[in-house]
Amino acid sequence: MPVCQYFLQGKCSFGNRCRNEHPQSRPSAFGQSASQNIIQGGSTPTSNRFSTFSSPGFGNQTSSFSSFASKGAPAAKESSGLSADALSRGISDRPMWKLSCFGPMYNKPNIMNGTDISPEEMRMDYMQAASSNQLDACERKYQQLESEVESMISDIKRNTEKYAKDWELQHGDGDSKPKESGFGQTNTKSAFGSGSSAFGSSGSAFGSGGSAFGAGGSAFGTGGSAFGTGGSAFGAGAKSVTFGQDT
Amino acid sequence: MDPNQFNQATGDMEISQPPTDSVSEVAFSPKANFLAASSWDNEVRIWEIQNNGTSVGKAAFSHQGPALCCAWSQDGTKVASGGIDKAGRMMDIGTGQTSQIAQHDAAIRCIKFVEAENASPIVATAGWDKMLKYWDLRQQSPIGTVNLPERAYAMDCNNPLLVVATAERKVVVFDMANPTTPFETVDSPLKWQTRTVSCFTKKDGYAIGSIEGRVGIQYVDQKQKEKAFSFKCHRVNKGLEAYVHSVNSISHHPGYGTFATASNDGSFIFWDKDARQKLNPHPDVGGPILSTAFNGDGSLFAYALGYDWAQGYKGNTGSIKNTIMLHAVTEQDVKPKSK
Repeated sequence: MPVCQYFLQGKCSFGNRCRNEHPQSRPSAFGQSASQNIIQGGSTPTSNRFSTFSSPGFGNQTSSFSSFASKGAPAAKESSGLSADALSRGISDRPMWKLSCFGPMYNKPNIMNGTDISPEEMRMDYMQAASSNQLDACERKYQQLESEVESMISDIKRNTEKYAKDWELQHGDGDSKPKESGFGQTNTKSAFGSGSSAFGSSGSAFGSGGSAFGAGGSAFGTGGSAFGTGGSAFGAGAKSVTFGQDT
Repeated sequence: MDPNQFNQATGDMEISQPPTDSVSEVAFSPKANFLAASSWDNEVRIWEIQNNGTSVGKAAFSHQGPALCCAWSQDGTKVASGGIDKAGRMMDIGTGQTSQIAQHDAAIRCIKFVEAENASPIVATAGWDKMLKYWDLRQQSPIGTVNLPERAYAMDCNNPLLVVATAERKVVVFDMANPTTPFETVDSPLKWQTRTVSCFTKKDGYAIGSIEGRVGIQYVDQKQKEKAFSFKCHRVNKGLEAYVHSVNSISHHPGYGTFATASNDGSFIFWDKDARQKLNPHPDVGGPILSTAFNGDGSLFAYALGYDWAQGYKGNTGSIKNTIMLHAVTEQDVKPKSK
């Protein structure tokens, strides 16, 4: 008997009368993560359900859109802190692209760092390897990188309590506002550099006599931002974050 | 009209003489229905799109390696592009002349014209060398330089808002009144690698998409921060397995402010973030979607199909066609449900 897709999403109205199977606590052959994805209702409906969702009459009900809205956003509203459970759920929601960093919380830093490689970077790498006859070595390199990522993720999954606690100590304080020091990390591979532009802080190089941008004010804007009550369009209390505070 | 260009299933028109390898970015002129596309075949091509969806190739120029990004000046007279050859190049549509306008120490991944309307062109380039540079096209040296926290992965500008998303989930926001000092640097609201950003039509925030089939809606003004939220999309269930696809592109409708997401699951979907409604999905367009763009008045939507390396090297079997499709935008696609 085929498994009932609606039941897996918590939406089967037939209940016990359903002709398809409603698996109770049968261990999934695919592991915990797959069934968790489904139970959270995060699935995109198959095409014959699209018409229902897009009909105007669907209007004010809990739209498929709002049901996708993550419970973790915005961070200011949720109880502060990363729970082992939240970490476990987050890291088990695996995208198809494997060579990625991972951050367990909305607007907060990575817990798995230095593992971000984009498909374009990989493609360039293979292209360059092909032209120097090193495809095999390149393939091995990426297999190696993938298995390193898998090890890291397995380690996190086996020790969620510890990882959650350590990460909390470093980054978590319940404050959702972007912090100037919010991204300092010991294991980051990136160098933040010397802060603001090479031209120095005040007195923009853009505006010093004979500016490329014409008389007075930056050509970027119409002398100040396009809207807002004088001052930056980005609102009062705008912070200017400088790099290099936590190298 | 070449009947071979019309896709019966989707009702969309295929571009004439598409690129011969994956398209990295498509962009419409703000002033006319000219479409530019940068490609892994090293070329940047420009077509004129007619009202009936047919297209005529107009011009092309080359990089010395795959081209990764392209953009139009606000006045519609110039197309700039960046690529793996670490160079930014530009064609003046009027004269047909091309020149190099930018230089980085690694591939230029993102390029945008960031000048305000009626100002002289300024190009921003962001690269895998973790640099953001500004160029005024008249000088060989950049007029501004910013160190990014990581390699640039995506960038969008709707003057005065410029957003650069980098590797390791960093997002750097600029107010173009102050182009070399970040307005703020934040971590992505999403959990995995960033793929794309798109500024709101109203310029008060941006949408960010990742490899995890999720989009984050972010506001820049402190007073609006509470409105932020994220939602899942482009996740496909097959039996008990969930396939979590990448959101490769987000494009905002220039008038309505609604937006489209597009994915390597082969679909594009229109959304209204204010009403939190899915507006109109377009599934099964024939392949992974790599990049999307609206034209200047929002009546046309272009999407590029091709292999996005989501399955790595082994997945590059050549079975996915590289092309660009043109979709005639309908009210059902983009009209907001909110007032």
